This record gives sequence, structure tokens and C-alpha cells, in this order.
Amino acid sequence: MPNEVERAFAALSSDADRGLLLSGPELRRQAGRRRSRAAVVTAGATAALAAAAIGGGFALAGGPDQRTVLPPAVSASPAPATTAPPTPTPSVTTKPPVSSAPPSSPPPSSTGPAIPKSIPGRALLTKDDVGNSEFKRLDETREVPEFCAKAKFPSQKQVGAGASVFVVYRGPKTPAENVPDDTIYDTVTVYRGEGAQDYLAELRAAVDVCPTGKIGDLEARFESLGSLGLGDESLLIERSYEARGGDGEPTGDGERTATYIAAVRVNDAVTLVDSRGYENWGTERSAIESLARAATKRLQGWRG
Amino acid sequence: MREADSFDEFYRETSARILRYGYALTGDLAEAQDVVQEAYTRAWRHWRAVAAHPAPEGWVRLTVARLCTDRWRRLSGWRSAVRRAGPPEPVGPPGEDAVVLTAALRRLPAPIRQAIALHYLFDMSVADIAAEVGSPVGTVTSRLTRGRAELATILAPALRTPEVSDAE
Repeated sequence: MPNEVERAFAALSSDADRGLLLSGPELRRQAGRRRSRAAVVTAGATAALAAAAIGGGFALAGGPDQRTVLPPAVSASPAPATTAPPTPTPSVTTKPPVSSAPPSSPPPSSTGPAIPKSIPGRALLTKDDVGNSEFKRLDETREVPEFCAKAKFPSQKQVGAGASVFVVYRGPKTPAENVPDDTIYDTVTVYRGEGAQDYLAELRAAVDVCPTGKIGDLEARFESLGSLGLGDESLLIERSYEARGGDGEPTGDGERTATYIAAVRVNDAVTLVDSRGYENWGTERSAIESLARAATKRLQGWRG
Repeated sequence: MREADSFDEFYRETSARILRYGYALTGDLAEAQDVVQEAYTRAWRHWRAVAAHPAPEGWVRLTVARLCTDRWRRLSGWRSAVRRAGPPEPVGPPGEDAVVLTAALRRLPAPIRQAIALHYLFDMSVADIAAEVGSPVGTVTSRLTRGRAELATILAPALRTPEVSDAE
């Protein structure tokens, strides 16, 4: 597999030769021009860009000679700073309302449907549920979300079948060409016996015993937001981190950003929607709630 | 050597591989062009300091990484104006394997994508990457491990079958 990664990077390197770059002298000349320009793009600047684009020539980045012209680089950008690497954490977060205790419901019947050999695509979120998003069914079922070492999930010994999909999510108002809003995993698991009920109880317990936990490099804080009012029982968990700016540095203003775990049981099955954020952005609570509703509908359509 | 000459030589020697790096980080060659030109423009403005830096190419790489991470905020006004003005796009369509890789890389968190790109494009050791990005060696090691594993998951089926479908 490493060879495939190496081969893919070799292909990317070769493909980058299609790129067009200025010559060094031209870049310096345009940098000099920019010093005297306003730092914002105006209608006039746009017209100038258009004129330059029409008249300019470009050189291939991979070519032996870069002798060409890029439209004037007018930018509102501030000067670059030093070296902080970006960090994967979400951005703005709103404080969620306090929620009610999860409703209880009877355990699945021991005479319920037989454990299936596999989970059909229609039981999970589908492309129809996620609009302009990139969508992929994973080869392997995702494990339970990370909390801390104290969290235990013996229900996983009761797993009968499972499947996961991965969504690089764009909300309904996000155009397809924009960067994604979020990354989302939806996992459907069918349990033997009372495994599904146990799993929901274990998730609640995990939040209790793990008010904080380490997820990769990040200190996460977990908080139960109670029931979503979906399926036979449900649970929404907020997982928040210290907010980071676009430069990857902590904002230092005490603000936190959040991603969410939504778990919904339908009979002997659980659909778990786990949002992970995209780069330094978090998850809109309304988005995870909407996706949890869609995931519940899918699971009820199959296992309800 | 005059400052301009030394900058031109540095630019000539490094810009093609920096563009590859920008391409890996943004997933879009046109965006990478914008970001790379911006980074070199800034390098020229601060050329005395950059030239005296122990690793001028590392300085440019960091600037590129920062611009890529925050590119929508920092470049959006300029980029939208440029796009409306209609400058040339990169020559020809992207290669299939490159598309698969850039799509896979976009799914990785930015620091992992950065570590992976530095490793595979610049053949940098874990220690060198750690020094450049300012993270502990252990952190970089885990980023590389996770990045390779996630790329393996995504690339293996994608490279075998060009179209991914959601199985029923």
C-alpha cells in the first residue's frame, strides 16, 4: 500500500507540471506594483485583472523556462506570520441548551428479526440525504467513538452486523465547489440480545465518566445534551475543543468549538452519526440534528 | 550576488516543487498557483530576512501551508475577483490518479495532510517535519501513521475501481 501512496504522489507531481507560474522577474515586478495599491479588491482592480489576463502569457510550472505574466496579484491578505501549523479543530460554537433525560423504551423483543449478514446501503445515510457532499461506503465498520480510558463498551461483544459510510459534508446551502462544511461518519450496527440498549446506556455512562478525554492531540470535553426524541431512544453528545483560528493557533479567548455524536436506537439496531469537523471548523448543531433525523428514517425504513 | 538575482535563482530552483506541495494541500491546481505566487511575493518582500533564514524553502512552505489552511478567509476577495476576470486555468485536464489522491488528501485534517505531503513530496524525515511544523516528533509520527492508514483505506479501492458506489 505505501507503494500506491508513492505512486499517487508521483502522479500528482507530474500533474502539477500543468500549473502556470510567473517568471521570477515578473513576480518581483508585480510585487512592487502591489505595494502601492489599495489592499482591497475594487471594481477597478477587477477590470485591471481582466485586462492583464487577456494580455498575459503563462509558463508551465514544469517547463524549463518560466517567462510569463500573471494578472496583478491584488490581495486583501495580511502579511504572513511565522510558523504555526494548522490544527484540526472546529470553529465557532454555540452553547447548547440543557436537555432532558433520555426517554426509556422497552428493550427489543428477543423474538425480533434475525441478525442480518450485512447492512444494506438504504439503512444508512445515502447520497440523497447529503446533497452536494462526497459520499463513500467504508470497507470496515467504524469502532465506537473515543472518550477516555474509563469508558467501556461490552455491548460490542453483541455486535451482529455493522456498516459505516463517510460523508465529506456540504450543507444544503453550500455550493458543490465550496470547501466542505464538515466530515461525518454514519454507522449502523445490529446487536444480539440487548446489545443495542446496552450500547446507548454505555454511551451515556461514557460521558459521565469522561467529562474530558484526549482525542489525538486535542483535549476534548464531553457533555450529554440528552435525547433527540428519535427512534426508540436517542442521545446527543457534544464533544468540544478549545477554539482555534484559521492559522491553527488557539484563539485564547475561552471560546470552544464543537462536534457531535448522535446515537439513535431502533429496535435491535443503532445508527450513530459522528461529526468530526473540517479542518478548524466545527459542526452546526442544526446540521447534526438534521442528519440524525435522516439517519433514523433510513434505519426505521429497514429495521423499524 | 544582487538580491534580485538570488531571489530569481531561488524561485527558479524551488517553485515547481512548492507548486506540487500547494497542489497536495489545496487539491486544486489553480488554487495552488494563486497560493504559491502569493507566498513567493511575500518572500520577495521580506527577501533579506528570508534569504538569511536557515531554510528559505521551509519558510515558503510554511507560508504556503498557512495560506492553504486559511485560504478562503485570506484570499477569497482576491480570488473571486480573479475568477470573475477569467485568468487562464492550468493547462489540460487533471490526471486521474492525481484527482484520486487530491480527493483523498482533502479528507485528511490539515496537519496530517501537511505531514504526509512533506514526507512524500520532499522526502523529509519525521524529525525534519517536526522541526518545520513546530510539533513534537511523536505527534508527527502519529500524524504520518494515521495519514498513511487513511490514505490506504481511501486509495486502495479507489485506484482499483475508478467509480465508488454505495453498495446496497
